[in-house]
Amino acid sequence: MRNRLRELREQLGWSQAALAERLDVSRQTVNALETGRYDPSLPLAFRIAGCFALPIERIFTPDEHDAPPSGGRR
Amino acid sequence: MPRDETSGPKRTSAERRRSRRYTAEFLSGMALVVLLLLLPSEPLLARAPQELRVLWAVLPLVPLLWSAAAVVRHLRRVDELQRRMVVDALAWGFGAAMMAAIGAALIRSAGVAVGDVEWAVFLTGMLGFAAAATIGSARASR
Repeated sequence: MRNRLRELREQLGWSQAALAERLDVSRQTVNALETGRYDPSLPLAFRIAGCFALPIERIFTPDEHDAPPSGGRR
Repeated sequence: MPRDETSGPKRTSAERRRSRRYTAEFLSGMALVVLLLLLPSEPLLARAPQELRVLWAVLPLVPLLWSAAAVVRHLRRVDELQRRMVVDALAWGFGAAMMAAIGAALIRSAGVAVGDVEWAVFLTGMLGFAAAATIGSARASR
């Protein structure tokens, strides 16, 4: 999954820690999300969308490397 | 000039709070385990009935359970990525301990005396857990 988290965060001038505080997650999680190493759960994705006041699909977009729903790697 | 993502603190205040609480809970249990193991019990229990000796021997399990409960409580407090990393690390630790136990059993089945391997199995599991937790955390922080 691709996301615009870093771009949106930087637009607002927030540090990763500041965004992490707002989302009630660790800074490490924000970093993993921004670098695409971790895809958030649906509740966290909604929380992120709420934080930036944007619909989820404006932040997260599917990627051809996404694992299939059945699991495994593509 | 530092990049924006690193200009803030390394950890949020909630993370630091959770970490402090976990460390205090976990280490208090482990400290008690070590204390009970190191206590010179022989002079006290030399003439004690076997039941009492067994009870004393398994007494470290109580603070060990406290430490295990601290891990479970920590798992409930951390966020979803950290929870996944800890669970993955626990799985690696479990796998490492199982491999060590089976390895020792297979060596013994070949007629080789392997001695008391319980602590080696425990240590292998803990090392597997620690290594997996460190690698997982480093990957997420890259």
